Amino acid sequence: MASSITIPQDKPEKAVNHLLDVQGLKTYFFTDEGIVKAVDGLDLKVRRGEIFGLVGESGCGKTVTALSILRLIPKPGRIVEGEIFFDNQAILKLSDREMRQLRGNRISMIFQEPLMSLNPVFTIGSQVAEVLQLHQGLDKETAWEQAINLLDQVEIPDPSDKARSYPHEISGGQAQRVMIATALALDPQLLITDEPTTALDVTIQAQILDLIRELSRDRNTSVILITHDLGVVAEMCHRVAVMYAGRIVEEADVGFFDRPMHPYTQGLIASIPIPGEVKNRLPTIQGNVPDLMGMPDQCRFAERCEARTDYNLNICTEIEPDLRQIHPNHAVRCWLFQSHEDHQAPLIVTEAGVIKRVVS
Amino acid sequence: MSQSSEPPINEKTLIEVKNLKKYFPVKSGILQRIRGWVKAVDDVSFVIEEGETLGLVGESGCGKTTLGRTMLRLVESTAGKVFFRGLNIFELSPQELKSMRRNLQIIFQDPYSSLDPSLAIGEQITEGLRIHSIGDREERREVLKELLHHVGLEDYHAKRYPHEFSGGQRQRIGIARALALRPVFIVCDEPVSALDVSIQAQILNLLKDLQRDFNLTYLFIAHNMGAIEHISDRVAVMYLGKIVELAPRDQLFKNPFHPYTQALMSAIPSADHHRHKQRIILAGDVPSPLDPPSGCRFHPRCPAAFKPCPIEEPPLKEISPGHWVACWLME
Repeated sequence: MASSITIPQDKPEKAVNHLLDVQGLKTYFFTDEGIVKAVDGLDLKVRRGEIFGLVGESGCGKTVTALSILRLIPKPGRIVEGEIFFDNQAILKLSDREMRQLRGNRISMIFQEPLMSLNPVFTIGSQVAEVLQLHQGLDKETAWEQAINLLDQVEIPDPSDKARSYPHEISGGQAQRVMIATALALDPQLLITDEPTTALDVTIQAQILDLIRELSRDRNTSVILITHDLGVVAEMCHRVAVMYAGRIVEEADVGFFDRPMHPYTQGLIASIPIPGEVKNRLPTIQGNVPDLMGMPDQCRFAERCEARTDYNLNICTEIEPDLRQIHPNHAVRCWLFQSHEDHQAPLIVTEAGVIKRVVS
Repeated sequence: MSQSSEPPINEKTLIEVKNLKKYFPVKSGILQRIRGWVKAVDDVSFVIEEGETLGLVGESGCGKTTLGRTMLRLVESTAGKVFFRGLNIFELSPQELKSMRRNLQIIFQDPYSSLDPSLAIGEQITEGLRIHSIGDREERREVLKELLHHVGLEDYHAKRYPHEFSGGQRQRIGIARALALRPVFIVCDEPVSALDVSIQAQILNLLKDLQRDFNLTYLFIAHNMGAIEHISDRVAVMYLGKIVELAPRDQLFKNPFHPYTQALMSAIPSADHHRHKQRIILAGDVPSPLDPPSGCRFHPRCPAAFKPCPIEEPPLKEISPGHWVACWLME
């Protein structure tokens, strides 16, 4: 596939053995108005025990990616192409029953709105215990004890008392802790968190992120952290992929915040006000996110890209670039760094940094 | 509150808020008996100077939105005064209030729910002009055109409906509507929180440009410290209905005194991973404003709390010119 990431160091040692390997995933929504290509050719590899950040603005396809991995795409959406390997198992080929086994037991997900994910008429303890009863066949009493133990692990104060509370009696931060307890009840290998702190206050956000990091480290759980907040990614993740309009446009170790290469990532980082560095004007990315319906076969960021005009590139609106390795552990989907027939990449990445190609 | 907390007033003062309180009754039972009061805004005083932006930061439930709305008399206050150019807004007759409203506008957080989905946006932007009988049809059309250009929209947008716009564009519409009456003072209530990162910067820049072009004064309410620092001249930090610290922007960000402000700042995740700093992670949740802790409301979560904190409430005191802190550590 043209748009696949080729990470060279993976080839010699096939032993890297990723926990999750998504290849060429396409998830489309077939609406009355047309086909929305929410995820359009996505490759993603998550290692064991790593926290992987998936960043992008609303509508870029990050949540649809997560739901695809869980095979929970709502109608009229459908996975139309691609493969998802979880622990070397092709999960798109599993039966619905097998998939239910996988969900919860080995892959869990927590959502942005913790209070919406909890059932208002049951106590929080019984909701955590229910998972254990259903999946592990524990009897009611053992499951309840285990649930209290889990609530304790996610640092809920007085867990045996709190277990008897109903969702409306607890705060948003505590509700998110309960969700994490539920998600971790079965000790999954992969935890997908979709904007887990966006609905929470700043000081509570810090608590929850800290908890996720600790639990991941202690249990060697892989985490996919979906967020629009680059700050959260920088503090939490080992690796990051930036999504734009259904595609990954840049993927790297978290250190790449030092040297983002894709003009979109650069623009995104520059537009965030940094505490302590007041600028008179914030640099902005012009225009809006494109419509995912009828996306032309070109770089999806081209219309908003200033680098394209700066370097006077025509190819950007003609052919879509690949997500290509430009440096160890750093892949970018941009014509600035790759050549094609008549097009010569204007930039070269070396050990020392990015240099301009001298046109002879 | 002690005398020391009286804000200084000079000729540049546009807004003066004095001992403002807003309590909401909590009722229960068949008789709807009042069970208690949520002290959303509890004895708050400050001034805003002409042309400046006062940032107001705090977590959800701290009363920042209620403060903004009470100041504009969108909700009636429980006690206190708000002066606009020396005139007490709370004592105006309905007629006087109506003409006063031309000067005072608000921009809301959610640009979708604050627009009427069944009305073309041109109509909505000029609605205020019609209500105040300003200009005739033709003149209003001219004003509309100008407003659209000021906020970065095109003429043809006037006939479109809210659902046809993106979040950022809708916020531009909300801003145009607030500007229509040429106000002096605008409360910006979380104007960028609902927007995507790349769009937030556009709106923040726009607000700054408009402030310069129209000599506007802002109360900028947000929970995002980055946005607050970018746009504010001075910043007030609120916790459970009280202002706990107020200072010129640079001073507050370089030298925060209140333990809550320090925690708030250290909690901001930074995209620059070299800036990893000592995180102060506060234990516990924000307490309910229905039953706030005794003494200093922050003391149960405060890493520096000591003897007097649970007993008596610290006054807001000026510790250096323009820098006000309410904390017993300063006494």
